Amino acid sequence: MEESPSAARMPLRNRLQGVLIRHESLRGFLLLAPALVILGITVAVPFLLMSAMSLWTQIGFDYADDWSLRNYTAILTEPLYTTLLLRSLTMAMVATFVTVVLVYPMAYFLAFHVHSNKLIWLIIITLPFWTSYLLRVFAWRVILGYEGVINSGLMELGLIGEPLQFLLYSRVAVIITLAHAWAAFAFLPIYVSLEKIDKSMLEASADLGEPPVMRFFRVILPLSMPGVIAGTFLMFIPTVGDYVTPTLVGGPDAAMIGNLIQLQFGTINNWPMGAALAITMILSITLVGLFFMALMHGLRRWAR
Amino acid sequence: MTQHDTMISIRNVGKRFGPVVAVEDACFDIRRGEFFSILGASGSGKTTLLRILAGFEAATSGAVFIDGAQMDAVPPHQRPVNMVFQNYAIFPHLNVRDNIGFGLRKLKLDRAERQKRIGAMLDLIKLPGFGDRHADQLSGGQRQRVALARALILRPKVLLLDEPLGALDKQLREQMQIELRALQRSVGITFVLVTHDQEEALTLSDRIAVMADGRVLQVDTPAGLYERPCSRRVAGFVGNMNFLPARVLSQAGGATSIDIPGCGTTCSIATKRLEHCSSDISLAIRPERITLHRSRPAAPAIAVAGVLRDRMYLGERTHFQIELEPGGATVAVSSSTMKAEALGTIGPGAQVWLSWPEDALIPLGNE
Amino acid sequence: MTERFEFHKPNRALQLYAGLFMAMLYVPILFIPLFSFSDGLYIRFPIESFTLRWYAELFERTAVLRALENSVRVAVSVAIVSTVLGVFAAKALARYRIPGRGPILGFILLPLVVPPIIFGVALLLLVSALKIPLSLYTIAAGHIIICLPFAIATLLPRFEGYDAAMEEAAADLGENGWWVFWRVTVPIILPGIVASLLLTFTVSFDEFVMAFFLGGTDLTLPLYIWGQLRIPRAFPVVLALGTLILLFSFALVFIGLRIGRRGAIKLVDRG
Repeated sequence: MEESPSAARMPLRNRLQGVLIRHESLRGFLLLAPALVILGITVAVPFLLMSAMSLWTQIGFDYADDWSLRNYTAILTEPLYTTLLLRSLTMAMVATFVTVVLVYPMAYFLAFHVHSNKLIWLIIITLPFWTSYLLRVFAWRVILGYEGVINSGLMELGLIGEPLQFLLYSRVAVIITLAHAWAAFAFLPIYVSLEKIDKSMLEASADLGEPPVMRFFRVILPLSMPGVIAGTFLMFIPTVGDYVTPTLVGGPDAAMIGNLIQLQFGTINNWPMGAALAITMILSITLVGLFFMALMHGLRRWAR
Repeated sequence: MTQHDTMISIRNVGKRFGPVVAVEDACFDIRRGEFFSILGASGSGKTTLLRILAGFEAATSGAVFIDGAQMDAVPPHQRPVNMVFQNYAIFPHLNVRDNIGFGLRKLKLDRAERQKRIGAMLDLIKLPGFGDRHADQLSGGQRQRVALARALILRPKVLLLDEPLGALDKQLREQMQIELRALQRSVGITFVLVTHDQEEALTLSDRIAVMADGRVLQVDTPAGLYERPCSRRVAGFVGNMNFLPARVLSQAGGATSIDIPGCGTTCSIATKRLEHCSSDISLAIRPERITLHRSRPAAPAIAVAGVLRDRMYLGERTHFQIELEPGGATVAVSSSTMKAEALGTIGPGAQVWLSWPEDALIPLGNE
Repeated sequence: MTERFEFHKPNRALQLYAGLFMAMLYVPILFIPLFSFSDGLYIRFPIESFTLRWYAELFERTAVLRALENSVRVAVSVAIVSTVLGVFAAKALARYRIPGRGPILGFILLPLVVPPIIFGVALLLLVSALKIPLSLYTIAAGHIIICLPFAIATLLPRFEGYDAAMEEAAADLGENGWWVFWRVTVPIILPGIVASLLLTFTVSFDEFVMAFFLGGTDLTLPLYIWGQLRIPRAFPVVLALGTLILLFSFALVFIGLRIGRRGAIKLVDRG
């Protein structure tokens, strides 16, 4: 090669410049590096640490780092853990299902029947989602409380003699609150998938004499399924681990796995068990997700 | 050609994107002050080659020299070239004046000098008084001129143009071709233009490199490419061309006798024009080199009979499709409308005769 | 077309549903400001008289003002850091051929989906293993994890929305990377930067879970509110404080989303 001797004579700075010019992906990684390093330190490393700690055991104020599956055996055998885990999964599932069903018509309306100012509609629908989760949950406590909006309102109207006990501190309260708080998360992907559907194709199918109901079930719903699935995941995953809502409106009967994790790091002070619970939660979410995907896959094949 | 005449020297340049070879072993020179075009279909590697010259892509192999200096480790902002981008890349946050003067920051000019240079550029591109317009207030043709001025104000050694006329409609494109050519002559800068439009390349360029599938097929003047294409691909790409399958029969003296089965005739061609060809060849002939007759012509020795299949009136010219053998391939003939009128009203199905001068036949190897 | 397609005809049932939906979305939140003006100590109907005294009391509580200051300090630093990191990362993701782009983007956007308690707990483990005392700094570190995906999701469409040739043109005209960034990239993506700053500020300002696990003795506003929720007598002041926070957050997010435009839609599309 004739160019190598001249390259060797170039000053280091130029040679570095040359390397950067030749390797585009290197420049890309340099730009990404700060974000990746920070996420590595704050996400990846802690996660590995948590995985390691879940295999330790708490003894008094100390850890026994003798690597055992004791925490996991306890989680899988003691009813307290399994009950809370299953309850969290079911409640998140119910809340997700309710939300997706309620949100779909709204997304449909916005995608197909709103023709101007769509952006403003979108902003208004997603706006609450960006703001204080704590306050939005607190609002439901105001509504569902023993002397809250509903109870005092109904009593004022003379419809009930004394406050309804079941409103606050129940699983229904948690599900309502979760549905309200996470609606935007389920809404956006469904809306996006509906918006992507080619309107002229629908007009063509109308032209072929298909009635609107058939068109919805044969064209629109199948085409929006990716959005529905994305929305389901986006809402289900974070809600399983929620503990603000069950704490504020759930009470003991509606406690979820998040509450238990929080207790391990708080009053119970058993961090290895907390770590094991967090890992178990992630694994169980993954399992449910995989099962759901398989189910959807099966349904699609069956529908054909 | 002496070293002094060479502005850009492209030496065995290759570029791969992963497994995809975009440019393979490109090797040619561009002369000082030349209007040079790189012609090719999309995906031929022409834009990649231009971007290697500008420094936006690094060649995987080979080297590029501009005005004698090796460019491999020189980043785009230090290269003595400027570029007009395909969609012009007019900065949307700046007005016309600041767009044109963008590159002047480093020269540290005082305000008056800066305004003078920008004003001169606005005059050059015939947009005086447009300085305060915003980018989105410009038409396609105006954007193109602003992009030209922005690149030329830095007096680069080479101006690179990436399909600069592609976004314009036909009429404007033809007008801009004339202006571009005049501009290049007046500033005397080496222009390297990338285009997929063969007509544009032929009209504008001093010389053209034809590219396909990452390879440079031929570098020649427009007339050279048109009259002496080196392969079937170049011949088919530049202008319209008929290809007649043929076979070498025998050699005698300086001439070779060739059989053209489709025409049921033979012809003879100077042997030296058949270098690099094997015995199975194609004879290429331009539609406008073929003369159409209503009866067998007396003058040329070779005349081929055929049946008129189609006739298209295109204003100044008239095109014919002639079938030589029943059900066989057709030959395109282009004749000036005046001559076509002289033939009288012949329609599809009419018996016609074709003739051509011997030098109109271009022997090409079958690759 | 003489006959208008059905989607252009108003559908009464759907309109009614949309109205109800929006009401269900906003009415529950509106009870917070409503009762913040109630004179009674307890939240209940009927509201007998209206007052501003809870707001007055709010400003007399030094704890509130201190928490406000802490929250603003955390949120401002988090907004700046995550937006700056977001600009670099979004540029890299939008402009360079990066091997493993998909998985990298997935990793960065992960905190949008994974329950924040996981990140909070995991980071707490690291912080305590390194014997770093819990403080506003640890809260900010946690908030960056959550805000970075929002910043990138807001900025990425901005980078993808304009021709990469703009930056190449600036380089071609003689500017090095630094000047290209300041003279071309920043002005063009400025709306995205402003939107990202506003959104990440609000997300950090209102964030509770990370702050709960990673906070020390210095409280942020959500932590302060959490503490007050155990005291029913403190509810009116919490309502007043909540009203102001909601008003402030809604305004910032509305402006941010307006400026960021397509950001919100694209966000989940990719996620």
